[in-house]
Amino acid sequence: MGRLELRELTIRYGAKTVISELNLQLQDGEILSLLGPSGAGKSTVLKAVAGLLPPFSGSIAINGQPADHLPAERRDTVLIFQKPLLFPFLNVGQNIAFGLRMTGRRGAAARQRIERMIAITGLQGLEQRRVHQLSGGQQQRVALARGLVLEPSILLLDEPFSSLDAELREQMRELIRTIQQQTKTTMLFVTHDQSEAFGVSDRVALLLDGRLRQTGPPEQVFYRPADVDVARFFGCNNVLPGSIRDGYFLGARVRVPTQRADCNEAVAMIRPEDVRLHPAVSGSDRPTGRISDIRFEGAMSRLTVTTEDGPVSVLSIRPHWHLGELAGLEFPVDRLHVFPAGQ
Amino acid sequence: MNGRGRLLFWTIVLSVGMPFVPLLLWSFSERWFFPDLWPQEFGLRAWGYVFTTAGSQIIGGLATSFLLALTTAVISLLVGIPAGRALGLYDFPGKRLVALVLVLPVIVPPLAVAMGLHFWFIRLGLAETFAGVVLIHLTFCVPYAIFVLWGVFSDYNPEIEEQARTLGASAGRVVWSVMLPMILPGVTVAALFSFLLSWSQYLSTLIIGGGKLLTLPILLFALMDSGDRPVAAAVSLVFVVPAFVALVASARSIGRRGLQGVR
Repeated sequence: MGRLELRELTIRYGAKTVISELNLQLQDGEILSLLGPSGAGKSTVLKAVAGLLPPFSGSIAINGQPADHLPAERRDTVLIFQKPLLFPFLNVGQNIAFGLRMTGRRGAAARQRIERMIAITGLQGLEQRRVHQLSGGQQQRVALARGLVLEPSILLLDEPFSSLDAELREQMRELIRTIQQQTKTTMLFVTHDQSEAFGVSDRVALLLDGRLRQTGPPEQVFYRPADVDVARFFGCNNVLPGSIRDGYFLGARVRVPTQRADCNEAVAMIRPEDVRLHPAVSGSDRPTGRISDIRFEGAMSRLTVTTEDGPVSVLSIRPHWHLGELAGLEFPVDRLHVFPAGQ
Repeated sequence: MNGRGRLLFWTIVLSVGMPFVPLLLWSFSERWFFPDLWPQEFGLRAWGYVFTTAGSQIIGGLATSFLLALTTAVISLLVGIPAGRALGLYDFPGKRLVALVLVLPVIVPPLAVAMGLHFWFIRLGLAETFAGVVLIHLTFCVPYAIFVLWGVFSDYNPEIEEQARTLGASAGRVVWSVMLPMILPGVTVAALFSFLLSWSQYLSTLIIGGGKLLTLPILLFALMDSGDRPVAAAVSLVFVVPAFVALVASARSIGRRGLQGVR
């Protein structure tokens, strides 16, 4: 249980600004994913919240109380790192008890909390094991239990599953969800993996070049990108040039109603899976192009269609197209995102 | 144990144990003259001398040596741990120069260092004092300790300390409850090095201590000078025992498994 509020947070390493004027609120019991490419400064935000890195300016409040002056050990946060970072000189049980020991909590209540966390994370029977005897997934679960046993207001997770294989990662996502339901811990989850962010969190915040670009529920940031960069980050890589006139985006062969103001140079973007391919019909006003590349990617195949306006990428299930065939392209109007160019 | 293991075991036992055989024989011999391979007469005269006549002197020497080696080892660690940490974890201008300066006292013969410093120590009132001898021992013990701990820290992930901090450990507790247990094997090796180096010092102790500080090696050399071989052999064995005990006591910590940590 806990609320987190970051206000105008700016973090610098020397002269380099890593995070600029970040505003972010986490509600009680919420999981928010901070998503961004590697090097976007995601981990830096977590370290600042945990108190391991002093921000250049701005403020951090936990449960409405300013936390800026509190050192890491007195902040009501626990950071789970990418690596499990277990203490090799302690066994599993002692590792989980470490935080309680450091904060002087012993006795029956402490033992009860430890046992509860061991049960939630499924580590029963491993208490006496040495940490190097555990598998990677078990180690990360010990790390989770070690943090959760302190019942922090905010649990900070820094790509905690990125070193695990795909199947194990899936299990850990489930575990995070279960833990969240059972403990109602507020979590700030950092990842560069979109599907991980969507699968785990209630809301997603996208960080690009040190700035927060869009925050919202997963479907919203995915299907309603706020700008060109956000759209690109989520794989919306088809860009149609044009202009905006009287409430319409006008491209070479598309016309899309838009709320945006008039603008001489604008772009319309569309996700590759939203482009529809039809047999080319002569005399139609649809844009046409030749299939110039077909790549099988599993569930979907990626087709490249070369048109007069450049290549268009299309994702299609079980495509029946062949290389060199002529295809008509349909850009459904409600799937096009219109942005002024040069943002 | 298979054939190769047995061979290795006996090789080690023989190479470590061989030099002690003549010492043992000498210490229990009454008469042993050239060219005999075996003492003509066995007896306990030498051991009797060590434990009774010279007993208080030997115990005094043991105590002085022990206190000296312990103080040197502790100070070496107090300097070596922060220095090794700085060298192992951070890059700073002049790091190579520091390495060179650290090697110098090890390369330059201790005799030259001790002779040169003796002059200054007299002026500073440190000659013939316990503190002075500790200082001269530190000139070569500290570099060894720093080198060992430099290696330890270049293999150390400081993120584990950040992890401990977010789990509620204060800076002081991080040092005690995380850093020291993590680097314990290295600390043990560094302490052992310093202890044994100091323990076996003769020349520098003699020069700076000026015969006032009667450590075991000083007594041993005096006895060997007097030509009483059985007694010298017995004292030599007394001299080896504490070093051997220190080694065995620390073997467990050095050999502790899984200390590399979970990375």
